[in-house]
Amino acid sequence: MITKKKTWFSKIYVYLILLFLYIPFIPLILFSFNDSKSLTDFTGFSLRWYQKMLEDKDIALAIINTFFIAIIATLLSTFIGTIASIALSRSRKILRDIVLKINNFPIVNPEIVTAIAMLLLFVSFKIPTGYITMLLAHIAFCTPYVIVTVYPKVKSLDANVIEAAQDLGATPWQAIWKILVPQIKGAVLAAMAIAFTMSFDDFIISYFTAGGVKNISIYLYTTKRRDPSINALSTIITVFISIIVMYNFLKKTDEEKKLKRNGRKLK
Amino acid sequence: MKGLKKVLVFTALVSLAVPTVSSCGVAKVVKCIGKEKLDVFNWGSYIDPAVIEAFEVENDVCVNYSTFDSNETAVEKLKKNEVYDVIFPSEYAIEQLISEDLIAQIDWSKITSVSNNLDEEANGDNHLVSGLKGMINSLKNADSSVNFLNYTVPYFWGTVGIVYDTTVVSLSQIEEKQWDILKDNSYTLGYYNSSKDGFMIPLKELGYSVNTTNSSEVDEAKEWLIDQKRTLGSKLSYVGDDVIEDMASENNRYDMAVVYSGDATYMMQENEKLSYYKPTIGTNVWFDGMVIHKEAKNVDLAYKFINFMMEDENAEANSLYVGYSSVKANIYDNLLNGDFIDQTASYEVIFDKEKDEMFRYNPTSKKLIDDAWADVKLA
Amino acid sequence: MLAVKNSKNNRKFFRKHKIDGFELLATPYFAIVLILILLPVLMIGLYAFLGSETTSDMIVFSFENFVRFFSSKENLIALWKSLKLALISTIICLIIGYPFAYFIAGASQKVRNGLILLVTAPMWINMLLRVYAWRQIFDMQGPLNSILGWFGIEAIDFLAYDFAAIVGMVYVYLPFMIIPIYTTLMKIERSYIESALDLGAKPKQVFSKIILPLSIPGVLSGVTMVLLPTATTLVIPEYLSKNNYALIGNLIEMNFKSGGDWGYGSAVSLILGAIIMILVFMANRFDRLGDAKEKSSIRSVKKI
Repeated sequence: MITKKKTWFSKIYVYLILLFLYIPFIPLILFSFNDSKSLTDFTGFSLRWYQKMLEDKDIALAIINTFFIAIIATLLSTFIGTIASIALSRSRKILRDIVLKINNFPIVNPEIVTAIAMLLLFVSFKIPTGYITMLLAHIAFCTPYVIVTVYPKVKSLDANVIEAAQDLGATPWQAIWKILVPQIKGAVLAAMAIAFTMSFDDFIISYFTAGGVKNISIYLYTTKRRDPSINALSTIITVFISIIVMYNFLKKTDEEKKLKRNGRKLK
Repeated sequence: MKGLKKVLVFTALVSLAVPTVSSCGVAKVVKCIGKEKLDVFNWGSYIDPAVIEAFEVENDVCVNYSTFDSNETAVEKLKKNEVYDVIFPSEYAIEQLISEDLIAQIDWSKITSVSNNLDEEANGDNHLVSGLKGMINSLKNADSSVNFLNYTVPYFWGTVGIVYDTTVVSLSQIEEKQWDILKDNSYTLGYYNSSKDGFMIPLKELGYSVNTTNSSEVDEAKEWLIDQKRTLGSKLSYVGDDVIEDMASENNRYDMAVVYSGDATYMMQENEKLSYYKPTIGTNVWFDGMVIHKEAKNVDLAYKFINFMMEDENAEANSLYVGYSSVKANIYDNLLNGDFIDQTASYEVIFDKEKDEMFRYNPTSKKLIDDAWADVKLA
Repeated sequence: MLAVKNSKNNRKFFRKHKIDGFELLATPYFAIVLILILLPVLMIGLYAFLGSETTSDMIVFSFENFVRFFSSKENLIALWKSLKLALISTIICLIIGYPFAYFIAGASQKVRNGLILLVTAPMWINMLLRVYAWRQIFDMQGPLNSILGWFGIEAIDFLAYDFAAIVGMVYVYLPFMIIPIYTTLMKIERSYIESALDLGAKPKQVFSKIILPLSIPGVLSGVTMVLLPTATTLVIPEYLSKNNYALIGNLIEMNFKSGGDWGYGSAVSLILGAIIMILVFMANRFDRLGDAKEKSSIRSVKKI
C-alpha cells in the first residue's frame, strides 16, 4: 500500500487466506455426489442425493420459507429504514444522536439475547409463534442495519440541493423522490443486500420465534439426517449464491468500463 | 460480456427453479392448496412416508407434518398456543398435557383398528401387546384415576439401553458393570444431551427412582455424571439424534451409545458389528401415544388418521420403517419372530415391574434434574 | 408569476411543517424500535427480577436469579471459557485479517473489487452449512485425517480439542474483521503517505506512525464485530466439539429451549448483555483515543 510494488509475499498471503475461506466447499460439494451415504469415503459418482433432496417436501418447504421471509423482510426493512434515515437527516441533532445510539443497540446485542427477548414478548402477549412472528423478528433485526448503511449516505448529501429544488417550485415529496432517492440508490441497494443476507442466514432468532415454521438453518439444525443430501442442498445454495455474486461483479466492472469509456469520450 | 451475463442470469434462474419446481418437493406443497388439512406433530422420521401418502390419497387430504426433537420442546410449543390435530408425545408428556388441559379424551367408540381391552390374559384381534397392557395397568392399579387409554392411543413402545460395538466391548463386561460400563474410559461413548435421559442412568444405577424428588439422591446422580465426564474426558460426547447415523455406519463413531431401543434396531440393521443390551439393574421403559388436541380443527379427520395408523398393514409398515416396536400384539409377535429376528435384543420390550420405570410428569423432579444437569454441563 | 407565488407558499409550508412532514417518515421505524426492540428488553428485565414466590396474583421482585448466577463457581468458569475462546478467535482473526486487508488495500481497483467480493461471498451462505462442512473435515475419517495418514501420522480427534471450535469461529468471522479494517485503510488520505515519503520517511515509519494509528478505528470495529458474536455463539462450539461443556450462550439457551427457568435465563441474558455493553463502551473510549492518535500522527507528518 505504501509502495505500489506488489511483493510475492503479499500475493501468496492473499491466495492462502482465500484458499482457507473456500476450502470447506471442496469436500462439501465433492461428497454431495457420493454414491454411498458416507460423508468420509467417496465410493463413486452419483446424483442420488440431489434426487433425494428434490423429492423432500420438508427441504422444499424450508427453502420456500427462507426466501419468502427474506424477500419480504428485506423489502419492508429497507423501506422503513430508508424513510427513517431521510427523516433522521432532517431532524434535530439531539434526537438524531439518541436515535442512532439506540439503533446501535440491536446490532451489538448478542443474537441469543435478541432471540429470547422476542420470544418473551410474543409469549407474554399471547401471540402464537409462526410466520408472522418470524417476519416481525426479521424486520426488527434487519432495519438497524439498513439505517447504518443508508443514513451515512443521506447525511453526506448536499442539503442545499433539496432546498434549491423547492425554491424552484418542487413539493417536498417531489424533492425527495426525484433528487434525494436517486442519489442514495447505491446505499439502498447495499442495504437490501445486507438485509437479505442477514435474514437468509439467520438461525438463532428464527429458531426461537418461528414456532413450527422452518427455514433452511432451522431445518439443518433439527434434521436427524446426516447424509449427503445436506451436501446436495449446500451445493445448490452455493452455486446459486456464486452466480448472483459473479453477476453483480461483472455488472459492476461493466459499469466501470462504461464510465471510463464515457470519460474518454468527453475528452 | 453481455452474452456471458445472459448465460449467468439464465443459470441462476435455473438453479433457483430446480428446487422450486422440483419433481415432488414443492409440487406436493402446491397440491395441498384447497384440500382439507390435518396438522400432525410428531417425532422426526416416526412414520413411513408411504403410509402418510396413502392416507392423503385415500381421504383426499393434506397432512401438514411438523416435527419435534423432544417431549419438552413439543409441550413448550403446545403451551405457547400452537395447535395441532394429532400429536405423538411420550407417556409422561401426555400426563402433563392432561394436567394442562390441552388434549381431549379419546372416544374409543370411534377407534376401530385397536382395542382398549386392558386384560393382560386376553389376546383378541387388534389387542395391545400384553406387556404394554401391564405397564398401563401398573399405573392404574397404583392410582385408579390414571388410565392412559382415556387420553391416548398407543403408537410405539420400547426401552432405553446400550448399543455397543461387539468387536470392542464384550457382553459379559456390560452385564457385569451394568450402567457403570459407561464410566469406563477405555471406550468412546455417545451420551444423550438431555437432562431426563442423562439422569435416568445414574439414578437407576444407584437404585433410586427416575422420578425422585429427593435432592440428595439427585446430587448423588449428579456426582456420578460429573465423575463420568472427568473420567472419560474427550471420549465422552453429548449427542442428539445425530448419534443414530453415527452408529449406523460401518465406521461407527462411538464404541458405545445410550439409545432408544427402536433406534438400536435400525442401527443394528445397518451395522452388523452392533448389539444392544438392556441393563437388568433397571432402565426406562416407555411408550409414545397419539393424542388429539383439545382445540383440534379437524377432529373427525384426526380419528381417521389414528385408525389408519393402527390398521395392521400400516402399523407393520411403520414399525418396519422406523425400527420401533409396534404396540399391536399380532404385529409385534410377527416382526419379533420375522423381519426383526436378528434384532430381538432391541425389538423385544420387557417391562420388569420391580426394576424398570416409566417417567411420570413431576415438575419438582424435573426442576431438580434440569438444574443439576446444567451443573453437570458447566462442570 | 404563478410559479414564484407557489414557491413562496411552498417554502412557507415547508418551513412551517418542516418537522411534521419529514419526521413522520420515521414513525414506522420508531414503532419497530419501541415494540420490537425496547419492549422485549424490558420483558427480559421483568422476568429476570421475578422472584420465585410469584403467583398469578402477586408479583414478587427479587435478585435471587442474579445471586444464583454469581454464587455458582461453574457459571463463572463457563463465562471465562466463553470469553477465552472468543478472545483467542478474535486475536487470530486480527493477526490474519489485518495483513490481508492491508495487502488488498494496496492492489489496483479491479483486483480490489474482486478480492473484496471473494471475501464477502461466503458470508451469504448459511453459517450452519459452512460449520457443518468443517465438522465433516474434522471427522476422524475425514479428509484432514486422511491427509495426515499419507504422512504416516495417526488420526487426531480434532473435535476433542478447542482447536476445532476456534478454527470454526475464525472461519466464520474473519470477513467481519477484514472488511472494517479494509474500509478504514481505504479512507486514509494518500496525500499523507505521499507527503511523508516525499519528506524522506522510510516505509516502516510511514506504516507505524501514519497508517497504523489511522487504522485503529477499523481495527476496533473489526474486533467488536468478532468478539461479540464469538463470545455468545451457540452453534459453532456445539457442532465443532464433543459438546460436553456449556458456554454462556448455552446456559441461556438451555433455560428457554425445553422448559427451564425463564427468569433465570433472563437474568443470565441481562448479565451477558451488560458485559457486552461494557466491552463496547471500552471500545468506544479506545476509539476516542484513536481520534487523538490521528491528530498526533498528522502532527508527526508535519514534523517530518
